[in-house]
Amino acid sequence: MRKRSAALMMLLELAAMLLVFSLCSAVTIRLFSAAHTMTARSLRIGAAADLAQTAAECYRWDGDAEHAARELAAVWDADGYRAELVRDGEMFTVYLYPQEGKLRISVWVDGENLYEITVGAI
Amino acid sequence: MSRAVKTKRVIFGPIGIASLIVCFAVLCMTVLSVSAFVAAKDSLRDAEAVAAARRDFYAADLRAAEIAVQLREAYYRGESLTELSELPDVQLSQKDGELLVAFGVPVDDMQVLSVLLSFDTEMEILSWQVLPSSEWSPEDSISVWHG
Repeated sequence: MRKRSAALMMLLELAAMLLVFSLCSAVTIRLFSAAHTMTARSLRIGAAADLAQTAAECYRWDGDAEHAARELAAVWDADGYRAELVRDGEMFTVYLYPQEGKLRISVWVDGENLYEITVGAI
Repeated sequence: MSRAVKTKRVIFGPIGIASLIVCFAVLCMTVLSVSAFVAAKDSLRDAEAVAAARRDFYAADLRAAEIAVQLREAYYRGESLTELSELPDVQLSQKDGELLVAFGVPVDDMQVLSVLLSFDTEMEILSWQVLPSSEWSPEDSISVWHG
């Protein structure tokens, strides 16, 4: 009788611990997932800013949008240049829109305009 | 007496081990996941701050380029640059027959893009640099509790 009650208690403990473990696992998995998403986003932002800066510095050098486009291997598309580049395994689309004395640079990833700057040249 | 104790240990010995193991596992998982989350959050904040700093710099750079172009065009048209002195923080001076034009465009709360241009037969950029907007003063005292 006593042995049976002890076995039952052990079983109950195991069941309770399994429940606790499952709940905590769910929480930690969510935390890891959120951390992964944030890390991926920070890498995306950094890469987008780097690409935009590359184009911006090329344009600032001589005020020639074509020079910036060549540097990024961009092609003319409708009203500006478009380059598709892979960074950290992701496809970045860089748009260069030449304006009067200015160049608007826009970096898109997965349909999101992640980074945009406008640079001027003298 | 000793037999009773032995019996008790045999019966209740395994109880609690599962709890201990699970508590340890949960503790490790929680510490690791929270550390990863905090590190990722800091990394994202840093990346956004760096991206915003670069955006601020290029915005100030664009404004400075526009002012410089405006000054150059006015100079080549033969207009007096003093008439353009309504531009923010534009200072004009003469040195060795050359006209020196200095102005600053704020980048953020702590930095300013300082530009120095020289006008003679053509415009020349003498300086185009980011400087701290306020002069740094070393702290020479420390406030401590004197009791």
